[in-house]
Amino acid sequence: MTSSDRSTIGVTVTAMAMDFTVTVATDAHHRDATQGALDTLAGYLASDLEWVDAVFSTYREDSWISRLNRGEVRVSDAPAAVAEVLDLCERFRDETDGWFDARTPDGGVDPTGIVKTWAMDRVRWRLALLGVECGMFACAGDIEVFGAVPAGSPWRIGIADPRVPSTGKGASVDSVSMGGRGRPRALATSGLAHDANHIWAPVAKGNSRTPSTVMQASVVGPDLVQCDAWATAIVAGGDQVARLAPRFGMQALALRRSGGRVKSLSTPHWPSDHG
Amino acid sequence: MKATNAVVVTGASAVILTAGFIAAPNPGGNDTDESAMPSPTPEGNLTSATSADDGAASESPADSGADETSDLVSGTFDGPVVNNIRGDYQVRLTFDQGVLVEVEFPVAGTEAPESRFINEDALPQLAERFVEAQDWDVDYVSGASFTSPAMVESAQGAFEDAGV
Repeated sequence: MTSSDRSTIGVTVTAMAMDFTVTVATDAHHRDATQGALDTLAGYLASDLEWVDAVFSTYREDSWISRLNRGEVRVSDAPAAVAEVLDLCERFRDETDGWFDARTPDGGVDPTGIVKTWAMDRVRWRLALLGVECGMFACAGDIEVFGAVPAGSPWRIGIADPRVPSTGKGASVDSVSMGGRGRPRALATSGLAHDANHIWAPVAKGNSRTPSTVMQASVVGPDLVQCDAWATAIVAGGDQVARLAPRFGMQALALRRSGGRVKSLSTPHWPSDHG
Repeated sequence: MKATNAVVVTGASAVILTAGFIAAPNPGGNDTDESAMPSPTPEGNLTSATSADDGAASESPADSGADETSDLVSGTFDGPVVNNIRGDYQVRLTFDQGVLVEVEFPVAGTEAPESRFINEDALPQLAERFVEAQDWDVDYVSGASFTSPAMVESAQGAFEDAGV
């Protein structure tokens, strides 16, 4: 799990049917205390994330989003968080030239694409209470690092091979260093590895543009939620969207299948560890 | 500071000249393009130099905390909006320690096909290469996260409704 001589410990919280992992660097002296703090944190994280699920889940008939989409309530009736997330969705729709789109064709809205990272962002303040120098907060493709650089060497994050449907560990086609001055703090990956159809081109775009052949996209930048929306948009819209990312302070890596091999396309300053 | 600003002015005017050429993509040149080019250029010099001065003192968004005392300019500076027969153009320059690191075109041309084509070229080019899966020593592997199948279902329904 670790590189170099760093010692890390972590805790995993399962919520929204996904595993959220907090990993922190520690030393022998503080190991037990830090593990205790992590275990305490886990309870709060689980509770916070459960609340987000109850408000936003499209699987729950009684969530605010479901009720909103059935026309039973208005946005102004819902917790303020709902308006906040819907505003973010609109912002990212503008930024990505329409390729990130939370509106559903039947007039409803499904902000699921950014709800997870928005939730991670919302609970981030709790991580500061751990009293550790540095750490990493991750869930599947989405990672945020906080604090200093552990033991002088940045976090190294692999980019999964999209042909191998697994996360957490496994072969990667590239890696990036995160944390510390001049390095990205957030990374999001979206793709088709798990389900060939989970991202689609917005209907309005469907007829007028070349369909995307990108099977997985990773985006680094200062804001995890923004990276998440852009990674989704690049899978939907392809290279043309990836090229817009630097305008908003992000760099992107798009992977495309070419025969049996994988071809990477990256923006000029994508921070690959491998040239 | 003076020397640095001189560098900035030179850099900015060079880029605006370039923008001028980009804005007038007809390489053979005709009378309209020729006459449109020179006028915005000197204007661009003056305004860019001024905004660089102001910016160094007040803006420097990225590095203001770190390099207050540095003589080298860091930050992002918008050039003036200039126009020619093809439309309005604006250059945005980003400096890091006095070095020009990024050129953007916040305002670029008209919706005419020519300028769209030129602007496509001005956008960052993607580097392409084949990659192989390896077992690198990493702290975590970022794999595709996924969104709700309900979205897919809903979209598929809509595609069908639309007859696409």
